[in-house]
Amino acid sequence: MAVTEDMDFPRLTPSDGRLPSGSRLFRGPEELTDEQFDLLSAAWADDALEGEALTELESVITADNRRRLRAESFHRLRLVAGSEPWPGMRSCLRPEPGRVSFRRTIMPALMAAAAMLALIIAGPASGRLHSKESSGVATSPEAMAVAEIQASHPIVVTDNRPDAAEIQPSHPIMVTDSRPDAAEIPASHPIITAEGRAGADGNRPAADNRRDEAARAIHLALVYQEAALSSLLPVQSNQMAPVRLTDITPVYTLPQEKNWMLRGITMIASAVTGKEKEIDGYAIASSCVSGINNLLGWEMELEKVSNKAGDPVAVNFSSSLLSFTKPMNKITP
Amino acid sequence: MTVKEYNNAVREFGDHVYRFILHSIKDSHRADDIVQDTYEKLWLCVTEIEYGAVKSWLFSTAYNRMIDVIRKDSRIIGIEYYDDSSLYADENSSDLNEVLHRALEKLPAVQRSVILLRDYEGYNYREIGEITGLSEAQVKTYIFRGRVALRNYLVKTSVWQ
Repeated sequence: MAVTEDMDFPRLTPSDGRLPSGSRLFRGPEELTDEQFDLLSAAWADDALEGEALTELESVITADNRRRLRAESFHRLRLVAGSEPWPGMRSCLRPEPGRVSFRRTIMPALMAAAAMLALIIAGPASGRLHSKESSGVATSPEAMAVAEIQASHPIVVTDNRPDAAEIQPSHPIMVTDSRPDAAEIPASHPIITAEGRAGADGNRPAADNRRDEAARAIHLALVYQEAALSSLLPVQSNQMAPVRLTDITPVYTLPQEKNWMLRGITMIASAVTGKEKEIDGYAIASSCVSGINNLLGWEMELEKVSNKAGDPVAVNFSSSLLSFTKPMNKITP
Repeated sequence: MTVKEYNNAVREFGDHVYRFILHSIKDSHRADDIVQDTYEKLWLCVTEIEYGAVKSWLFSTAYNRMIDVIRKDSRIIGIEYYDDSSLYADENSSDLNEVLHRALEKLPAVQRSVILLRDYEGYNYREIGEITGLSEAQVKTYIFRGRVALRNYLVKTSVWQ
């Protein structure tokens, strides 16, 4: 400061000159062009105006009805979202830990239960099937407890046990044989004979295999009766002799190299039906799948693939969670 | 973010992101791909993102991916080369929302995106700026210009007298 004063530099002083047309440059809000007004209106409709800008625009809107309508039209320019769903949503969902453990524990348990159920159902079903094909054994809904044998030779079955009469009313087993050379089969099980029906089929020709069939039917009847009484009359069943599985003589068994479960099922089925026929593993598995589908409402599919000769070569399994193809061979179906 | 929260993000925001991209590029297959890619990226860094911030992250990632796709297809129309005359096509539909969406297709991609984010999702200018990488002032400008263009479209097509 002192230096400046000492040097005493000259200073420029502005003149009093003023812009002669300055007053004409002032503008009022009503002088906004339509484009400018539209931009302000868009901001106003978007609630983005505030302070003086808002005041100015509102003054224009109040004064000019045309512009008021023009500004208000921006309020209607709002896009509304449609309802287009995202098609790829399911594929982006990730399995949560809880669900994974559920699938790994509950689902196998359900499958195993369904398989057991199918096995339980398969036994009586095959027995019923046999009754339709053979005239030696007739079954009813209580097929496990009642067996009726119609043959040309009379078969007399007696029961020396004192409690036989007590069992008679509730669980009779009727054995009818009209053959003249009736064989007397002593039994340790309570059996009620129905000789009154012996003459009905007395004129039927005798056959050698008929006798064997009748004997096997009686034997199976005893086993069925024992099983039925064990489940329905537990008190009385305690007084009876236990059934030995060795009494069951299968007429057909699979080779040892076959699947153990299939061998077991085939053995039991052949003893019950008397047929030398291998149980189809695919039929059992297919029944399991159908049962699970009916029970749980799933859509699993099991399909057997055969070659040109008609021999099964593979099994296709498909579901929403898992799909695979299992090749089949003769040893492990 | 947990797996459960990730799945919630898929269920809650998937449709929103898809609609935003679908109306931005008008191609359902590409929109689906872009949203799938976005969620794939989210899954890769699922442990690093808080659930509270996932929505804007999804929109931002999907928007950037969409811009990449548009650039790759050479279909982008720069705002500086935008031809306003393309707006004034004949339009016979009387459904205002439908007409607006058709008019929206004629806007530049940036304007279209910011308007969609504003109207569909209700984002404020700052959030839209974060998603699109624009400043707040730019977002405002694009939105207001876009709305004026939409209005002019309706007037020129005689939907509005």
